[in-house]
Amino acid sequence: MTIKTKNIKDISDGSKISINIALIGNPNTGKSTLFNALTGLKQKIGNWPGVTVEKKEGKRSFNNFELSITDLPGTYSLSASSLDEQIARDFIVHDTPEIVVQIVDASNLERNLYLTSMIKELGARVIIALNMMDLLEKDGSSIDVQKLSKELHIPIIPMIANKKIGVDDLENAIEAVYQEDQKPMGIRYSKEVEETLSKIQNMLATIPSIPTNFKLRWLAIQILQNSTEIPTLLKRWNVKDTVIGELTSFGKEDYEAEIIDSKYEYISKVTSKVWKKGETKLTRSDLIDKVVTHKWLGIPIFLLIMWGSFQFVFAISVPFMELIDMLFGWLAGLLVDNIQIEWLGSLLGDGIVGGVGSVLIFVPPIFTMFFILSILEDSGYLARAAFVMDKLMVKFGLHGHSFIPMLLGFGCNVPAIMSTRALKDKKDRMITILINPFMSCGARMPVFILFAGLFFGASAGTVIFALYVLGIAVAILTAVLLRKTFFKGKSAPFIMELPTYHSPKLKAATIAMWDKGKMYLKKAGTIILIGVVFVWFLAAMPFGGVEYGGPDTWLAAVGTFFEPIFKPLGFDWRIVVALIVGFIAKELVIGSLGTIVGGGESEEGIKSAILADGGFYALNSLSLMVFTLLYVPCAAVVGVMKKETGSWRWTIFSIVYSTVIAWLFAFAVFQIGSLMGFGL
Amino acid sequence: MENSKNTSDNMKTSLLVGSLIFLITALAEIILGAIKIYTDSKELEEHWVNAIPFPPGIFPGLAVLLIGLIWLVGYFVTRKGQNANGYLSVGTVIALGFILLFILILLTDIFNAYALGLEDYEDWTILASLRWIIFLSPIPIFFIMKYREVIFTRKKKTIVLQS
Ligand SMILES: Nc1nc2c(ncn2[C@@H]2O[C@H](COP(=O)(O)OP(=O)(O)OP(=O)(O)O)[C@@H](O)[C@H]2O)c(=O)[nH]1
Ligand SMILES: [Mg+2]
Repeated sequence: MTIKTKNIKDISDGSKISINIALIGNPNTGKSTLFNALTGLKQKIGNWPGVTVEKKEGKRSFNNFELSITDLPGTYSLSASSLDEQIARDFIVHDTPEIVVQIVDASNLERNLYLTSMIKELGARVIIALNMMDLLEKDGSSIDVQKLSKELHIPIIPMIANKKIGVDDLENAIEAVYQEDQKPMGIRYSKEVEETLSKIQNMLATIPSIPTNFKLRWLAIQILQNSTEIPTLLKRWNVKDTVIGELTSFGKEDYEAEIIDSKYEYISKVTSKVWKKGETKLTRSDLIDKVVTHKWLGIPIFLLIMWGSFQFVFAISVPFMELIDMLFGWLAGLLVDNIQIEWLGSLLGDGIVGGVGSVLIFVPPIFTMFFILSILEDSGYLARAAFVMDKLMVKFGLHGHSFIPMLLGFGCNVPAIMSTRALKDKKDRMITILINPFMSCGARMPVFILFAGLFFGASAGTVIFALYVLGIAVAILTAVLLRKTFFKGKSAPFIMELPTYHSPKLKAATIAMWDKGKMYLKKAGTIILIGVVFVWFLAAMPFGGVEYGGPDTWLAAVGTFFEPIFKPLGFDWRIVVALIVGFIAKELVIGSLGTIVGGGESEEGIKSAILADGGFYALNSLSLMVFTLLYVPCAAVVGVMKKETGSWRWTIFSIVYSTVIAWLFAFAVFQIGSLMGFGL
Repeated sequence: MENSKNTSDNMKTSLLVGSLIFLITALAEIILGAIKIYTDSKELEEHWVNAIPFPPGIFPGLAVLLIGLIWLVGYFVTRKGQNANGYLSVGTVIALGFILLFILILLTDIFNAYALGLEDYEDWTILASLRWIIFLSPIPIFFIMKYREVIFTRKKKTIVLQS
């Protein structure tokens, strides 16, 4: 049972008091880190702004309290100019959490407090978690916490969230704050503004339909500032048009400027009282940034690190893959040979073990890849890579802030596309969504690893690297094209805050690797399993007499129907079928090939089966890899694209466009390669 | 961590010498690597590049080149009297990273060849996996030892918070 009351003394029967708590703060200040520490959940954290784009709820209880805690996207203000800011703002206004915990980056006090002033205006009870105290210390600076707390009338808890230092102190503060009302911050406006404010407040007080969770003073300030959403809000509350007109006529640009100035003035006064800056010297981060974001060295360093990463992925995973492959090959052979009912043996051996097994072989490289990505991200390097690439994009007349979603696409395009919500400009956002599928996600890796490994020997890592670079290049070119045609316009100005470097934590990277990799395993047990059974079924039909996977099966009928389109790319009907099925999930490209070529035939697994097959060779496998890289994103990506663009037209455009681009590139690879004598 | 005139002079020399060695090696490796790819594609097994015991490679050569360039830019930065610690550190860390990477690859190659006995490794010898940069490792190791404070942060103090 939960009882919502304001006063703790009302409760004596031992039942729990539930408190809603919102975690709010500027981007990349450690909100999700604190959220995880409080709730024990594993919300994604990353060393760059804009990681969290949706709210997420978790629980924690202590003493008699049951906290329901919500992690919100980072926000600089509450004016709700981008989608994720709006999520944060609406939560505070509509869900009226009893307590708002603002996570403040101690090394960036002044700017963070600006947000505090707005939260207080909304009438919320605030606790400040003064996070990143370690960085403040490293900098040589210091903050007089007690004095700051007194000035602002807000309890302040110093904290190092990623080491869980100070997290428990938050409990006491919550208990204390819950029981008393908080004084507002001491921001004073000029007499004229104050008088107008109270005039508006008086008028608002006569409108009964305004919900009580809206502070009248906050509404009045919004009206003075000409906030664009005020008319909408008032209309929603059935306020008469004449009254709305009267109210909005109070708004003036001068007032808006004054209100903002007064806030900044107050904050900088407070800050100067409590904050002592360390002697200014270039920090280590600055010195490193000079190199890794250098105007010529920056991009080569990024490319080199990418290349090195693929070498690493290959080196680590080849032995494991060989072992897994042998295991599944042996298992498939065993099933096919020993199960008396022939069709069942074939289903289990060729279909399930051959298909799912050939997907599971790639668990080692995929996990290694996710591990490296986490390490690079957590160290802070990936944000620099994004910064460098963004600078390049800006040179092409594109917008900055888009490379982070692209980097996220290396994991999976679905969350990557969702992360574009942090982009303010609608056109920028559309472009970023539409180019994202060209970033090679983890599910495409198996195709690359298998074929590059089989046909390109020691250069396999380099071939994969080249494919990823091709993906980036096609994405950038597409962006230029879209900017010049459908989404003309100037991009929003480009400022990016670079997070501080820290040495990556092995444990955090392992958890992140497992979190991302888990999805791959889960898919293998569900959608891939269903997919390969389906493929097996078609490859065995019609019943009786046809050779499994042979030219007389239903599967072959489908494949040969489309084969002419793909002949110029060097694909036979089996590859065509694999690519079609791959639309459901790209892992199924390998899964279906495994099923069709048959892990069950050969004792040594899918690799040997493909080598022995004769239908695959270096050039057509290269063209297959290029096609897989670029062609239509999987069903999940199509779904999220529809949701985020809100348009079927652009979703279908993306499907058609990417498939055509894939065909053209694969065609070029195969035909030019054939001319150069690399054909069969 | 005061940079006296003396240490910054030392660093200047280190950056210059280190970068020159890396750049020359890199150019040689990249050119020979390109020749090797050409002869491989024409199947000229008797060609003299194939007599080099440690096969050159274009991409490994590019890694060496970039490290050399980072140090070289660092050298010019010190000449302008500015702080080049970042160039020294980043170059050295990348160099060590790649050396460790290629040693790791060497070890897995040995494993694949002898423990797993993979077919791809029939003609493989240990020499084939000894990348050139491994032989350059004394330079970054020397940098690490000599400029330890510059490359690594000072030991972290444990921070006690009081509220
Ligand atoms: N040095 C230091 N790093 C921290 C601390 N707290 C969190 N971090 C790191 O700061 C980075 C950002 O953390 P997140 O929790 O993702 O930040 P967030 O506020 O949720 O960010 P958005 O969701 O993007 O707004 C991560 O790399 C954390 O490991 C701290 O107290 N000290
Ligand atoms: Mg977050």
